[in-house]
Amino acid sequence: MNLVLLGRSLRDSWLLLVSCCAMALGFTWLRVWVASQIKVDAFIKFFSESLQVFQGLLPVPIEDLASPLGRVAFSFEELGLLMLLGLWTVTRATDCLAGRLGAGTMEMLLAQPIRRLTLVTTHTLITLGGVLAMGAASWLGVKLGLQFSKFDEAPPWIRLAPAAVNFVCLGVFITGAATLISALVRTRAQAVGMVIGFYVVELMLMIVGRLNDRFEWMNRLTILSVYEPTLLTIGLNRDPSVYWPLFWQYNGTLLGLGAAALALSAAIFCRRDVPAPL
Amino acid sequence: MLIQTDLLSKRYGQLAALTDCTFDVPPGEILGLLGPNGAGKTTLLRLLLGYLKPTGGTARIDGLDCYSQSVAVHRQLAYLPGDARLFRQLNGRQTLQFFARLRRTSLERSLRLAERLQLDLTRRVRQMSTGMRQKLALAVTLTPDVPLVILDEPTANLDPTVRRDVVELIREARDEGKTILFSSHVLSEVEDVCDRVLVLKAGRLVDTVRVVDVRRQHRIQAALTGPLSPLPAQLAEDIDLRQDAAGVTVISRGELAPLLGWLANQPLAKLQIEPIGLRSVYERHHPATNGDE
Repeated sequence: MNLVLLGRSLRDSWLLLVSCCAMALGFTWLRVWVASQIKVDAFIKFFSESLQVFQGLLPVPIEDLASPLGRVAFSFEELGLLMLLGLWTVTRATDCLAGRLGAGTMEMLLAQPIRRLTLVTTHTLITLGGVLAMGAASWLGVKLGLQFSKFDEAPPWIRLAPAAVNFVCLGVFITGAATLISALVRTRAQAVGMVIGFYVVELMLMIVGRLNDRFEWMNRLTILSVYEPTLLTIGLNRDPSVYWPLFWQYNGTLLGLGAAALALSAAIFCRRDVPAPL
Repeated sequence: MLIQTDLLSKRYGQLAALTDCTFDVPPGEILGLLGPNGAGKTTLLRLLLGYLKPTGGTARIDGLDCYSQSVAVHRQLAYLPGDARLFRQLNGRQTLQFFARLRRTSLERSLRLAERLQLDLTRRVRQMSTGMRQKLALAVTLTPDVPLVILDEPTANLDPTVRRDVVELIREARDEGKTILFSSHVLSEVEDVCDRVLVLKAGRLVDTVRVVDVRRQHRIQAALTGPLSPLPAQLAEDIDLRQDAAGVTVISRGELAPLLGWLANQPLAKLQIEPIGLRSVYERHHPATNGDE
């Protein structure tokens, strides 16, 4: 481990990390507080009767989602929070290789007596540390939100741990996937474009797979099918014996694929030609 | 030998970026690389740095394989890219500190070099001009005490004053016993600084010349007022002689004094003697279109 590189990597990104963590904390705090203010009975009736076709998209039945625990856990599926996670992981992971190659700073770094693997691991360690910090900030935001909420029976914040863990595991997967793409291409713009393209395809597979039974098999093709913070939170609180295996399966899949992608990206970068910067 | 390449080649599919390049560099030599864009200079340097995997042949620095032992190789060298790009958010001093800590070298030496290059170390890299960035990178490159320095067009983007300082720094590095591999488009600079020059063309090493030999070469032109007497055998080896209606042209590759003795007895008029220089060697392989400097 190279402490000089580690320190440089941290100093390069602390502002982004602090901003993302603060926004994640603020977002979940506000989201939980707002969720506690909404009277859901009318909403459940409207959704059940008028928007039945979209029920397939929900992670859990509408009644469970409308429960205090469901409403709080669903904070981890909100686009705003996922975008923050994406902002941190994609920004960092695409900068790791393609970003440095494109910017030309890799030239001077690689001329030093440093292993290429060290360059990748120091950068990735900070990125993964940031993912953990964002998970913790989001969970803390939930705790604060619950303290100020107006739920009749506010769920204990510790019960939201499965959602926070699933969120962190998703961050590890995105870091791995984006780093892998970054190891394959030459510029950061290409890497970011490919990550966004990958996400759009995954999202389409999930939507089509959930909305139409004939295409249910598509769910198995998308990594988003193992990001189920609401389902895991409600399931583990209701029937742990059934949902613990699912918890390990989902998070193991995200962590395993993320780690495999990171290992593969390191292997590719250690062997690939380093092109001259454009 | 500090650097040894043997049939070193790099292909990208059908494109041959470098083909069968073989040369040696002894310690303490300043070796120049000459060639137009696309000749293979940068590919050669990147193969030596282990940035590219050779598709054929080998490259060794201090006996170490440049690709498979690149970390050990990098302990032996410092490298300045043609377009050096540093961390934009750091200022000059922080940049020097970062690289000094990374290589565990003396910051004092970096600061002395920076002062000599008239660098404003308080300015952030993103606020520096291209020339200032190049100077900062040069200070980073010349700080470590390593046996080999690889410079890819180090004076590109620099004004003439700093260019002179850089050339002086390169000479000082050589005087400290360092070996320098130096690529440049500026022929006069290469001729001034280098001991030996490799000329590359379309990915092939087409000529190797010693600068001292080039400096000894002269072109002599004159009009004839009568027939020339036969050339003595001891001169013939080092001389090319051509006669035409306009007169005589003599290319001398050796000592000029004996030739001048023979010329003094020939029926010549309008005698002109000029050093050939590296330009002629270069243009032999890369005929000039608009000038290369």
